[in-house]
Amino acid sequence: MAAFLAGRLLTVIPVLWGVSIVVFLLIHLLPGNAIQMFLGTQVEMTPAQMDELRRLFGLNKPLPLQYVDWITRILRGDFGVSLRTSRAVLPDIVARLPLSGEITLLALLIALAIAVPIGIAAAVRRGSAADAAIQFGGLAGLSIPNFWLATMLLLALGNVGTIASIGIYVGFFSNPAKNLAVMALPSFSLGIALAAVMMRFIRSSLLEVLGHDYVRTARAKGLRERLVLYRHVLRNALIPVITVVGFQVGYLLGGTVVIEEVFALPGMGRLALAAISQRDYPVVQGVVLVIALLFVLVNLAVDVAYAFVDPRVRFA
Amino acid sequence: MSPAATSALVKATAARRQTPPVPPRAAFAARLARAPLALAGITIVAAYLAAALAAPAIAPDDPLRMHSDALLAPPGARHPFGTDQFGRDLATRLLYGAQSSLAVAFGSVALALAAGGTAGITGGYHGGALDNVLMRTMDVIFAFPAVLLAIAIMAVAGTALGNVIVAIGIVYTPQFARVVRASVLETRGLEYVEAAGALGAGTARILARHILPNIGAPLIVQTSLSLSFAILTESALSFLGLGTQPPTPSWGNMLAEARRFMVIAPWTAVFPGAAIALIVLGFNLLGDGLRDLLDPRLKL
Repeated sequence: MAAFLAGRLLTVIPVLWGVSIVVFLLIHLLPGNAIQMFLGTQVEMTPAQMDELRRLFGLNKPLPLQYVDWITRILRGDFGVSLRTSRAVLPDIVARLPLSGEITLLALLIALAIAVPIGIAAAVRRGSAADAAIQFGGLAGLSIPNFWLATMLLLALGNVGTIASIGIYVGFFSNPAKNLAVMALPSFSLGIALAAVMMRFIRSSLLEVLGHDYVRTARAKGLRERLVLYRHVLRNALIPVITVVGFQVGYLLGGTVVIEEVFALPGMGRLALAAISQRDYPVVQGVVLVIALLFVLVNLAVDVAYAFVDPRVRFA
Repeated sequence: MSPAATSALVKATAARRQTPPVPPRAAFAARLARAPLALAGITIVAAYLAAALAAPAIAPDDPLRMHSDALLAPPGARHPFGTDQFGRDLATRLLYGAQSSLAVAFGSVALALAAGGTAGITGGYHGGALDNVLMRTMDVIFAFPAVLLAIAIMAVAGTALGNVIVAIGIVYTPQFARVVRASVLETRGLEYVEAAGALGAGTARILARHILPNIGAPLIVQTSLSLSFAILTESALSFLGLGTQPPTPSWGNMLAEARRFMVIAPWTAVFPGAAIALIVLGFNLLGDGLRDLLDPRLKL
């Protein structure tokens, strides 16, 4: 296990390095004059002043040296300062992390709660009309844009009680009931497509396991179908689902940016979108970096969890 | 080989040829006819393509013309899908919206296919350090949530149509690279490919004659599924104001504009979203159906 962990950690480092280069280049390859862009058009400067500013910000150095400066600061936790509010970027992002994290987590739980029972039901009734209906429902669930589903749910339920509290966010620990009431619709809108993906995966994973010899043996020795399912099939069929979770967290983290906008929730995504419209690039850069980092770490955690529950992975 | 043996072999071969196998294309068509979901997918996609191409001819109105006497008019005889807050005909705007959404989807997937396909073939066939560099690059792109990376690129690059295509194209390049590379690796080791190499066939010939035909099936499936993702991503970008810019209609920006008026005019929000959902369903049905038809070994 230790060797597996070490190996897996080693593969993460180059990816994170690459991610940091992409995020760095995103801003430093900005077309036009970066300084003039940052200061806005109302500030007139002489070329000498511009050069002085460039020197001050280190923009006169070659790009690789600028990268080294930048990544050194990032590693120290210095994500720079917002061009609009002059506040440090990182604390503002961290303050909004719980909301985005909660939507992601709730959406994942909702997706699992829908996908596991339905996926099992479809696999057990393979080929039936119910299976066909579930399969089609899965495809439909995949096809509905989450922001449209969210809009339609708001339209249909918008004036119903607490759900109308759009944009009024309360932290989970200060008022759990109110928090969940506000988060229910956003998480549900985001989770539906994931439920469809996972349901399809669970179904095909179960079908594969159901075809194995040991399942036939279990049936042949007279075990009741229910016990075959619970004791022999589900364990093996559901473990691979963990891998899908890791991959799909990316969908959730990206989707929460859009969903927060629909429900006017003050999460990381909304912070980034507001920053984009104000050309506040350090904030945009910070949010993109934090979300990508989260995604990579979640995937690492998922891989480790997978190796933990399924020893075969460790030795593969 | 003796003349007798040769003639026996020729006869045996001829006998085998007397019961010709069904030509692959006809067999494919026959199987397709028995796959109602794939057929439904093809029908939806074809209908959308036809509508997008024929939009100027079949649209009842000009997509930018404002009817001040019919602001937010409900669906009716004059405006089958109603009008928006400027009195523009929604049916017309939906048709023209299909042009922008499909153009971006096909453009970006073509880009991803070309870039990812090249990276996958090069890396898979040559292996070694080049393969390593290419695939680690793909890993890095994969480390960003797709929508987020597209948003970030658009935020920096600016909202021109070409930028939307490039942004979405970059985001979906790794999928193609991985699919192609896996197929190339699988095929490269097969004996008949080695035999072709032993007979003196060059790299280009081996790739074109022996490897490309084998990666066709997974590539077609991946293309269809990527088109569905590209439509969703384009509409999300436009919804956020980072994709197709108003007044040019796209389903995403129509939906964004509709949000302010949807309580009094729900049709403005219902139809654009339904238009997205239906074409995405079409590509998904097609992708799923093609996967079952072309390569039953491939699972989800």
